[in-house]
Amino acid sequence: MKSLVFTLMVALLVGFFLLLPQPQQVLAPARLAMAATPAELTDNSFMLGPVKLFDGEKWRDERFVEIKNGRVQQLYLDKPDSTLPWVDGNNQWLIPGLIDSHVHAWGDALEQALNFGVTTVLDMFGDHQFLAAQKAARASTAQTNKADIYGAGTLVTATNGHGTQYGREIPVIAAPAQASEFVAARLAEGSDFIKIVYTSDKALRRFRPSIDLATLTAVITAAKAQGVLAVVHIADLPSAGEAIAAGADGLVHSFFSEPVSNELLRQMADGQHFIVPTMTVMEGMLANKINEELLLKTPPAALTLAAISSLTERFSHSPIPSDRYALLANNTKQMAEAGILLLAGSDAPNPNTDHGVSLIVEMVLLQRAGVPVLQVLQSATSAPVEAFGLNEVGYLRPGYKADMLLLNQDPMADLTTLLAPAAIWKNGWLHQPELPTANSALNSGLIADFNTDLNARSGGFAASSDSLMQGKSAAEISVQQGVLKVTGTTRPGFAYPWAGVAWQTGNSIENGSDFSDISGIRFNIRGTPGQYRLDAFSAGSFMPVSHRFTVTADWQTIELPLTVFPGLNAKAVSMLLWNGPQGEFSFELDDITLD
Amino acid sequence: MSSLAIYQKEAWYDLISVWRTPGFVLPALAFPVVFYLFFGVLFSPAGSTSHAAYMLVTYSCFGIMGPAMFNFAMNIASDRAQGWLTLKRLSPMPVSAYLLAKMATSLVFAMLIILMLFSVAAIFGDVRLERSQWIGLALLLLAGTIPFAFIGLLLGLTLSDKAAPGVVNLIYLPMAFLSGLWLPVTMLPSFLQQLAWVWPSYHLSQLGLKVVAMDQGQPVLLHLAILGLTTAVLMGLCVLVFRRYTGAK
Repeated sequence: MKSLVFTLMVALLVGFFLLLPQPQQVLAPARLAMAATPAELTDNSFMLGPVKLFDGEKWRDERFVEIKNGRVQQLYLDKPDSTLPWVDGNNQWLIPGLIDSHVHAWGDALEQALNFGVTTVLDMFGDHQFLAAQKAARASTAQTNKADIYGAGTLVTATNGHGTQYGREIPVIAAPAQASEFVAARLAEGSDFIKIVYTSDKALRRFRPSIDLATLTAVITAAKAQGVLAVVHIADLPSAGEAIAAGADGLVHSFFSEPVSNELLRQMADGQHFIVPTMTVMEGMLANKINEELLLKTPPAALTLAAISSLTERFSHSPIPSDRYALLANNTKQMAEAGILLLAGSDAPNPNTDHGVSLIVEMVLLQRAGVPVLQVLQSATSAPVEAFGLNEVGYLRPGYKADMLLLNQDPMADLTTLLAPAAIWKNGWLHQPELPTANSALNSGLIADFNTDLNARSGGFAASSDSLMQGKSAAEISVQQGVLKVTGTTRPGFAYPWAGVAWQTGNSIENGSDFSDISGIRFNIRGTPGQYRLDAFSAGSFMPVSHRFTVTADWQTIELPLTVFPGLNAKAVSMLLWNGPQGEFSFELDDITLD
Repeated sequence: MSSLAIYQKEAWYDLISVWRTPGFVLPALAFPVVFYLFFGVLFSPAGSTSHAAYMLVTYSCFGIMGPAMFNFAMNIASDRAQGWLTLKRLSPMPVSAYLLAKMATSLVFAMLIILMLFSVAAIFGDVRLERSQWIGLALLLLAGTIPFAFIGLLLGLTLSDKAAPGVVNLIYLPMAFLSGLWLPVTMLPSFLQQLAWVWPSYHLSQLGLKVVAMDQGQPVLLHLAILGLTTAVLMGLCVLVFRRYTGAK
């Protein structure tokens, strides 16, 4: 009897729970409780949470973010009712997409930046046509694999001043009277702000000609009159002081020439001028350790061979005492303490930097210099927005673009978690970086004998000269009687004149070929007697490592170990370039062999 | 008589004695259901599908806490006062049978409350949960009675029979409110929100809310650890007090 009652009770209980209503299958994914992983979502409208939320300025109590059509719609303390699909935030850390406040973007720079969570870049001098072409994307929340770009377009510099050495014909300014027209021309080309290069007469070292103070002042005044910001490239204290006094909105470099003066600190803080210290690029001139430590020991998956080449590339100037880095760091610290708005900027792709990844390095360097970590996070999110008056990006607040990074660890505890974000969203779309493909390895042996044609065992040959960069040199190649004949002229015109024949080592110039098993190169050559030069390019780098050798009218075999190219990234060699001597030349090349 | 039979009989009679105390049964069963009907169903914001589910969890927590605390505190205090506890300890029945009987009664009441609240939620509140969520929530709530049973036991062993009901109410009701069982914890002032961490009922409700994915997002293990620790401390205190109580006789 008792057991019957007991069984009945149990049966009733089971029946009760079986009768309790369940969500209807059709509505289930949208309505309740079943969270998707970021990768399962194929839309830019969704609910994300719970997360720990940094909104660009501060850490918020809200834990859920509603994204509608690629923009932040609303923040919530608790998961609200919503028909939007829910993406589980796993209580990870959500911050705005990063903003790199100092880049030079061309080619695939915007793609590379986004691969590392840099969703917006500020270009500090580049092709204004590139800028104009990319501008429309800023207002859109369409799916894209590129970061947004705001830019200075062509910079303002003197004849032969800094900025003219890169092989593109750019307009220069000569007198204050041209300022207004010059600025108007830049704005007509699509510049968002004006960047000026300036070196004071009082500077200890002047590397290149500079506009004078009167012109600087006139350009800044013209920029303000036409409603845009004027930022100034400086490299020393006197230039910085004069630029600020002339009314510059901000400086796009710090300096390590001498300690920052209290006067400049006060002027910049009082006048709310900002600075982009670009410590990473300077670290490459001075200490040269940070990339090895943060990136190269265990490279992030999205780091391409081209990026590694750029990160390991060195400046070719005479060495500067490395204790200057401590001076630079101390200047940065003092600026932060004085309350000057700091912006994180990498100056990619200069030597020691590359797009995207170097902004994270810059943030680590800022923190190590003594900038509080919250301020470091702001320096790559809200600070550039405030400094440049942007209004689409940089905050995770209603109305702003849903450019977001989900982080596995607390960035307040360890900024390097930015190197491997759990998810990147651009315009509310999940961005999954295309991971770089490995390049193919070359083994030793004959590359080309030119017996019948130009064919090479790997890659191919082509004439190459600085006419590509509006230089005045020229070159032609042909196969004649079983040898490669190169004729041309090397003439001054471009900063680095060249003319000769280039061998692209593999199928892809971006990836190059792996030369790890190669110890040297050997070839037969004769031609116009003189000093010839063999340039070796690492993938992603446009600055070759060069070796000079003498050529005579008689055939000789030149044997060069790879060690004559210091700094060449043997894992990714993209191109070898044989350059003829100065003036008119012709030479013949045969039996190029790797050892 | 086999010892299992002793346990069964004690449990049965404890249940009957409680069942025949309408002053206990009616409020214990009616309060959570009526409160939930009002605050979870009738006052639910228009168009909300999740309010009723959220409140179901918190009022279920509220509901199961009551019988556990009251049954232990009031009945043990009065058994002590009237000498029943002394008598029972002189009988061959182990003390554990006495305590487990009380626990069983608490579980029966908890189960009844769960059945009623779940029914109300499903019928009037349009709450729709996966079967695993319904069952998981019920099991969690049943297990969740344990720390509150210990609170009741501790009070029953220390308070007089006259003081017990008042003191239990004084703890039960504020604790329920401050843990966010009546109103969502996020609607409390922020210092009270931080204070909520003190109450075991907060951690139980967060675990329950986790089952329906509406919790505040702290890890499960943290809530479990805090609940476990609280239970262990209460258990230790009960043992101490019980030793003193029996030692003094």
